[in-house]
Amino acid sequence: MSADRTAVLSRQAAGSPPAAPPGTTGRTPRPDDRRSRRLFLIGMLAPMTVLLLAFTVYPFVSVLVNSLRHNNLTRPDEQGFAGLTNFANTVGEPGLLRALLLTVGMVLVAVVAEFALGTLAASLLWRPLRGSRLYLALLVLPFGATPVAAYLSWRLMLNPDGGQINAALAAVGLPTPGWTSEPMLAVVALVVVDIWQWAPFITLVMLAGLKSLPDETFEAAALDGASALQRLVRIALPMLKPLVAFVVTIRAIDAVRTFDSIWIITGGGPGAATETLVVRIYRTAFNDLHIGEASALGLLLLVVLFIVGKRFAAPALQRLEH
Amino acid sequence: MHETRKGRVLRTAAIWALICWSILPFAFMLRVGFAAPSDIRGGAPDWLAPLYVFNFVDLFGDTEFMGAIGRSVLVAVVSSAIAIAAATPAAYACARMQFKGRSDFEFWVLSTRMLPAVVVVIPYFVLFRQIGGIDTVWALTVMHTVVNLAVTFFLLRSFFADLPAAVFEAADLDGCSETKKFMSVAWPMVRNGVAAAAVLNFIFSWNEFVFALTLASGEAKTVSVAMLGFMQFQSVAVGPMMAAGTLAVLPVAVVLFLAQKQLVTGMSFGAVKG
Repeated sequence: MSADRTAVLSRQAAGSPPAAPPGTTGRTPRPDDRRSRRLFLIGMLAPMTVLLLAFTVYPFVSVLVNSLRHNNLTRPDEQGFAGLTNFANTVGEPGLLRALLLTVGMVLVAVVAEFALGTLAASLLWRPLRGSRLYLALLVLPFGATPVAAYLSWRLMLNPDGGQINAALAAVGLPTPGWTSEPMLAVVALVVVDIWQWAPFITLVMLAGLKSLPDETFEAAALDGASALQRLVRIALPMLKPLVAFVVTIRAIDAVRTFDSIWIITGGGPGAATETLVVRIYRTAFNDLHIGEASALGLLLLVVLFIVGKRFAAPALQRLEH
Repeated sequence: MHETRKGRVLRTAAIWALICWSILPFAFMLRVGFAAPSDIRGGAPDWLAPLYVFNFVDLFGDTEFMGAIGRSVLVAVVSSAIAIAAATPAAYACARMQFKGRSDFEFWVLSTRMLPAVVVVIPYFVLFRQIGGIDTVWALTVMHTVVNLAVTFFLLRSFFADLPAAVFEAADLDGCSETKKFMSVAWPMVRNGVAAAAVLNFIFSWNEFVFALTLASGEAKTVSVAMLGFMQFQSVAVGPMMAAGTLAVLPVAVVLFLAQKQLVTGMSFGAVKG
């Protein structure tokens, strides 16, 4: 450090200007500066890079290798290269198409509903109001406070035999459906729980966006007779387009990965009624111990999510930053 | 844009309806946790029954569950510390320095948040099985560290990026080296941000389920997996299970009250200031 300082001082004494941050002012950095800057940069990025390589490259390579091998932990004697057998086996199963359609359907409905509800709630909180600070503080609980505990609570409430929801329905003489025991209703229940959990996240993000917009625009629109809903849909949302694209993309990618709530509330059942892609991958790997087939399916999912992320999330994030 | 009295009443009512909906499962959890077994019928509590504290008393004497809480704290603290140590320098470099491939690097970090844990855990399950890491606290700690890196990075990057440029220009004029700019100029100014990142990492680790379930569901189990243990006995353990849920939620709820903005910033990759 002191050596650096002396170097700069002697350069100043020799009449050259002090070191400027590269890319800010006119002076071209000396080769010496450039090398020490590069070393510094490498040193700064290295720790996280190494850890992330272990988290991304190793699993990716390993999933790739496993997907091409016979790897069934219940039959340790059968090892070796399997070619595309695992892919053929997973793709050939009728359950896969079901899981794929179920995943796409649940994600679409959940994300659209979360965006609509979340944005509406944000618009309710847009203008200052008593009680809104309390609500803002409570909003983070659904997606922040120990989801497993919340899912267990939902599971008990949804229990068809005397759970809280059916007990309340019975008390007012309404029918008591089998929320987690009937295939269609189980899917609906999981989507509702997902909306309960994630609409508040959209609310917080959209509220931050709405508050960043200039008040005058909306006062003028109100004078022109635009209703609150028109001001939101016709004026605010188009102005927030990059934010909307970003939040919808990351929420959709997250929704595809939803596992905890399904695993705890229905376990993928009844039967395979709520078996989405990730639940199917988990069951294949850890119930059936078919590591090869689970890896093949997992690899396909990784590639799809990566492409979606690269195509939509990365540009959206960049547009937001500029 | 004057709001009519009627409009304000409707708006307040709508917000309170949303509040009730958002806290419903937590209210249910509290009520069941404080209910005697005889006041719970088929999983639904008698909402007017007197408070019953023995679910909690029993839980404090339950060494298995208390051990799980202790392990959760240990895993969360250690993984959070490592994640911050690794992510802070990288966050500084990306926020305050120009270099080739920076946006690709950032997308790579972001993409790690998109990987489904269910897929990533498969190779680690195979690996830890071979090297004896299954059902150990250290294996889970390692996984939670890497899971936390992306959020830590984006949160801290937003803090570093918000620092006034004038400070760094002044440091340059004083002839500060890059190292000194990071250590003596930037670092002291983002201490609050680092504290926020530590809090969020703690919460994410505490809440994490897939790695905990797959890699440490026996001796080394943490809180989220330990709660599932109450499920085996169905309705008999409903009260204790919700008491356990309350204990699991409580520390997080308190902290979230203080760190809600940072949570949103971290989860939106720094795009939203919360």
